[in-house]
Amino acid sequence: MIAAVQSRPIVPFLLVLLPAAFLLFFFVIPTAFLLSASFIESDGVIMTGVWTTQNYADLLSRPLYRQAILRTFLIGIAVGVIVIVLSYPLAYFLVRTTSPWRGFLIALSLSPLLASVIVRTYGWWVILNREGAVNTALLSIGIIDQPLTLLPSSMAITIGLSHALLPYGVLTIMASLNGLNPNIERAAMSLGAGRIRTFLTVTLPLTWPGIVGGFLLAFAIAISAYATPAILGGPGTQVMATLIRNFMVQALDWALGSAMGAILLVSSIALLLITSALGGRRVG
Amino acid sequence: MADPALRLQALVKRFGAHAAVDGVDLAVALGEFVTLLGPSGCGKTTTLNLIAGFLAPDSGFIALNGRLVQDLPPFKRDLGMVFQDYALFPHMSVADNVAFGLKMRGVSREETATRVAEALSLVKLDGFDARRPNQLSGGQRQRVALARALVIRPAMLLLDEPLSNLDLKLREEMRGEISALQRRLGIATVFVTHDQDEALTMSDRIAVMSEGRIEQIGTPAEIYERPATRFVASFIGSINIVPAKVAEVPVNGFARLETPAGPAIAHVGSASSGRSVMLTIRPERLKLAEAGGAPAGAVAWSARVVRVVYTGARLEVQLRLADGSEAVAEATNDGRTSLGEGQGIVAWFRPEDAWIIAGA
Repeated sequence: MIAAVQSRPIVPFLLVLLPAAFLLFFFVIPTAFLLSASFIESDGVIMTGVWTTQNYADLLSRPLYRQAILRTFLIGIAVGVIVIVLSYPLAYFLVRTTSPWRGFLIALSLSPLLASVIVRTYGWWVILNREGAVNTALLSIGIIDQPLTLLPSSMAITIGLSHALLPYGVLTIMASLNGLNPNIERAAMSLGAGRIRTFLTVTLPLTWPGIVGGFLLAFAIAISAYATPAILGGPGTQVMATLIRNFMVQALDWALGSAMGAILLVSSIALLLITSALGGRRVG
Repeated sequence: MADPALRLQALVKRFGAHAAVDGVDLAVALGEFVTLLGPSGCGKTTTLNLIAGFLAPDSGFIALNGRLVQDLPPFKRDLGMVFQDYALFPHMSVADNVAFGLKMRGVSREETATRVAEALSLVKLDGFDARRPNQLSGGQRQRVALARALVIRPAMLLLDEPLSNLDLKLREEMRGEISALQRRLGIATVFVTHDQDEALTMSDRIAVMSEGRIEQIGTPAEIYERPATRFVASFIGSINIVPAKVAEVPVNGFARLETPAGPAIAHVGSASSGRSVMLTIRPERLKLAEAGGAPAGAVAWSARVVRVVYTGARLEVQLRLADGSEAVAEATNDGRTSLGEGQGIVAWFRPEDAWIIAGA
């Protein structure tokens, strides 16, 4: 085995070398610094150089931080679920339609990717703020007589992120639907399964990997998102990404910021592993 | 008279301006095996999809056992279908695949188990219950697909080119098995194929399709020996087609013809009228003889051997006729034939072996 590896030509090794070096210097080493900084005691803005686990204890014991961690994951899960629920029917339609507009409709569905996340998020801000479109509409038809406070809130963050991440769900689910032989659904129908049973017994299980993939993608991006929570959220709806920035840039407490970064990294990796294990079992 | 298992009447399906199925009429009797045969794009698969309910016709009627079904969804038609790519459920075991239709019908657990076992034994797959489709060979998948379609005891069996993904030897084996199974169960079957050998060997009747229409429907022998049109004649098997003019009013079903290769007498065949016709003769009915060796009453043309192609049991003799046109004769390789290229020879046939079709 070792001999076989050593006898390989050198070119493939060189091809891997450059990206590997890039990853090492710009990802592995900074991550190692981050992780090590999270175990160093800090006195205000000064790193003392003493090893400790106090940073983690601080983060997990204070309700403000605990809530931010919990809120981040709840928003991530909600965004993942909303993205899947909205993008599945859309992807199904786009894959199965024979309309001559199909190409245009696919481009249209993916067009949110073209606009900057800041622009899209401010679009939601315009819609959801106190004098925004939603409140104006509800007031004018008389459903409410006081403007609702839709901003800042976790709901606004969830809406903004779901909108921004919808194309990822559409893309991954379209890929899995494209891989599904339409005759399999036809076979189920010819055997007496109605449209809903065909979907539940055949289409859904066979596109499950796409659902898991789309969920993971949306979830992973949502929990690490900074701009949308910063714009649509506020001091009362901090998430991990906005807290990390506060630690690093405002409080200059690198130790706490690093610890929070490490929690974000480790817990999202853990969740990804769990979910992909669930997805993998269904595919079997 | 009992209703046929299937009746199609004036069936039309358009895709945009193109009529994929353009007025198809067909009746399949109870227990009959009917093949839709034609080149790709002739509308045979579209016709099958209309019967199965995966497509809705633009006009026309589809009746299964006398019940109009053209407006019913596929899951209410009670048909067993086998797809070209088998379309097995990859996430289910063989037993669950076969049980699927029974589950949808609410059949009890015990009866399902019995019938699944019966169906698997019918296709010689006893003991394969727990396997997954991806652990099976092509032939085994084919059998699972058959068992899955048959276990629901459908009103009718639809087969969409089920043999085209198998290798030659297996294809011939499955051909016989499907035929035997169909006859044993006595289930009316519509079989779609572009393979003329499958059509000729398996069918009770063949419907030859071209450009959305049925060109001719008949038993394999009728289709092969009495083609109605030039398309049918040339699509099935190889055939010599010689342009001809009718010289005299036909008598007793035989017509006297003038052809560039020489005068001829042939069966009037499917040409009802007209002076310009086509004389068709199958290569195996075109015989070769020494000069003056043709029997009395036969039509004899002088010809020259262009090439002899050795195919094992048979020799395919390519000929040039008097007018320079080419013809093919097929001779049994009896070990005594010695034909040299460029050799002058007589090509002859009996008038009853030549069949006239309408001119192009």
